[in-house]
Amino acid sequence: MRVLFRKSYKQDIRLFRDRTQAFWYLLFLCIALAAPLFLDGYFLDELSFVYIYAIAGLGLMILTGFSGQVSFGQAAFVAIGAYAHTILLSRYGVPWILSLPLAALITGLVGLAIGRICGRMHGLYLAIATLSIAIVTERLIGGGGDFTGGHRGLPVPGIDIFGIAIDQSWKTYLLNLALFVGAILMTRNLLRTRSGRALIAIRDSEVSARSLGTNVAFYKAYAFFLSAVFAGLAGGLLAHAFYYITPETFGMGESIRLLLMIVVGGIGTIHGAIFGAFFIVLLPTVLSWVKVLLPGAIATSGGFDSLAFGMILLGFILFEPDGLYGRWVKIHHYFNVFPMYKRRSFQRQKTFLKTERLK
Amino acid sequence: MSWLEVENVSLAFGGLKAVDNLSFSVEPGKVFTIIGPNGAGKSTVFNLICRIYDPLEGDIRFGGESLLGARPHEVINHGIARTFQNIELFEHASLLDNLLIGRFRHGRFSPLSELFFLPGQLRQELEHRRKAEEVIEFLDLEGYRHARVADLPYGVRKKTEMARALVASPEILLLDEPSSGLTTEETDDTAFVIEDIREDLGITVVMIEHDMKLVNKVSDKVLAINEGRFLATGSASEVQDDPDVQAAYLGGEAA
Ligand SMILES: Nc1ncnc2c1ncn2[C@@H]1O[C@H](COP(=O)(O)OP(=O)(O)OP(=O)(O)O)[C@@H](O)[C@H]1O
Ligand SMILES: [Mg+2]
Repeated sequence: MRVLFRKSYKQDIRLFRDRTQAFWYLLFLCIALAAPLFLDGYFLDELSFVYIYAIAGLGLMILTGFSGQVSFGQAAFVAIGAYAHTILLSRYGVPWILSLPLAALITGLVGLAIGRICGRMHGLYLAIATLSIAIVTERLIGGGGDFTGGHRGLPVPGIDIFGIAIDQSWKTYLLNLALFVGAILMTRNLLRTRSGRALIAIRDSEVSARSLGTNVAFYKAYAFFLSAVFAGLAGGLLAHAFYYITPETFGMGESIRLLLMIVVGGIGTIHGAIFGAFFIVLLPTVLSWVKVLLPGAIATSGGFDSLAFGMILLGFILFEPDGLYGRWVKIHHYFNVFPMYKRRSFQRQKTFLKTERLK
Repeated sequence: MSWLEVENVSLAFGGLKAVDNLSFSVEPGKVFTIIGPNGAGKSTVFNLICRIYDPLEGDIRFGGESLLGARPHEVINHGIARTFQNIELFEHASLLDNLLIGRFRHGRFSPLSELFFLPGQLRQELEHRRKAEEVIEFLDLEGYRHARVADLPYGVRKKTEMARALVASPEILLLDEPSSGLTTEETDDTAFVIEDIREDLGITVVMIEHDMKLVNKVSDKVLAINEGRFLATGSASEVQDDPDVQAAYLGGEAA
């Protein structure tokens, strides 16, 4: 087994623990950068969707996975970002390079306002509140008349950065990849500094977070803000990927899908958001391959995709609550210590009595 | 150096008077112990000092300044850190991360600098880490740095909570039953730790404790309360010899 020796405090603070880890991540980055050389447009577009969903997922991970506030409303923020970006571009002629961050900021401020209101709620109440936000947002956009295009929707202008048109799959792919990597780095930075630790503190024990100086309401709202900024960014990118947006694109079902995504990926980890995005985006493609092998009656029946998705989700909740990333860590460990793997190495030891919590 | 003064403080939960016109003061550099039977209102006194509850009447001052204007998260900025009777750690984080959260008051909210990890951040993180290591060494927690708190044995978790309060560099430390649930050896160890906190770190300790051996060993002054009311105060032996205290422990109503 490989034991990690630390020689400097910086090892715990830096982005990468050691050279091996840095090597692997940089290798992945190189492969991702080189993908346009060996993948055709269809797969590049699929990967673009993965990156965009991962950005929204990272936002939701900050809110739900790290600050512990469950949200069924993430798609509403994605919608606000998509519409803000599209309206700024087409109606006000704002240059793309300004419009996208502006849309993310607008979404963030809406998130902040909602966070101030929802900051006192927990569990079921918070779930219902965020769910209503998803529904209300969809209605508001639908009833927005000419401003939002109503239920007819809005066409999305092309991307133009300083006169360079981003109009081919490989170009949008690289753009999405860049923002995706940026989002990962920001989340990572959040987690290795003071505010990120405050969020985790609030998730695990509000009383003691407070006793150590954390203004709980403030940091809960901050988590909503960051989460919405990420969602808004993803929304802007998603608008371009769809070419045409309608309120239904970002309905309640989409919010639930995003939440399931981080659960399947592995809640409370950055990897979880990314693994989950791959899962959500690529699953329909994989299912369409599987369908070819199935008898016609099953393959063509309408609910097949939802059923498969539901079954897989149920499987995760029952057998692998740590999600895809948790499974990956175990497989990784299995090969590291082969043939000495014991299932018990991941069983939590309980050598003490569970204490009652204050509250 | 500061004085903690609790003056004529009362608090009721519905009809129950949990704290009843209670006054006491803690001298700097001392170990001050609060004893009393179960439900006497000891933890409630801590929660009042930490502003979790608002007293119905009375005042709580630290260093001459009233704490009643502070919000719960501001109490630590007065130099008051605490532990909880039922351990309130950040279960899903590592021991080290728990301690780094303890450094929270020694930083400022600077979102851009954090999100982009600007150069100042690394310096700050190293500074926090050095302080955390000091406390890890002080409490012999070296072996557990990267372990998830939820996986640690009970005694270590208790110590971790104390460590988390210490990295905040408080002037006064409130310990709610530091020895409850510990083995005899661990309790003996706790006595040395408390003495070191007072002697080496110069931190005033206010402690709630049931284990009379530990109380006798480390306390400079003891306060006994029952049903939220003052019973006696003085040295450990004086308080234990007090007839009211003995009556309270023997059968409440008999007094
Ligand atoms: N939040 C609350 N709501 C209602 N009653 C409470 C609350 N907190 C404490 N009490 C009651 O106030 C009284 C004092 O409680 P407290 O926790 O301060 O006792 P204690 O002296 O710490 O006891 P122990 O030794 O068991 O820890 C008890 O009767 C308790 O039931
Ligand atoms: Mg108590």
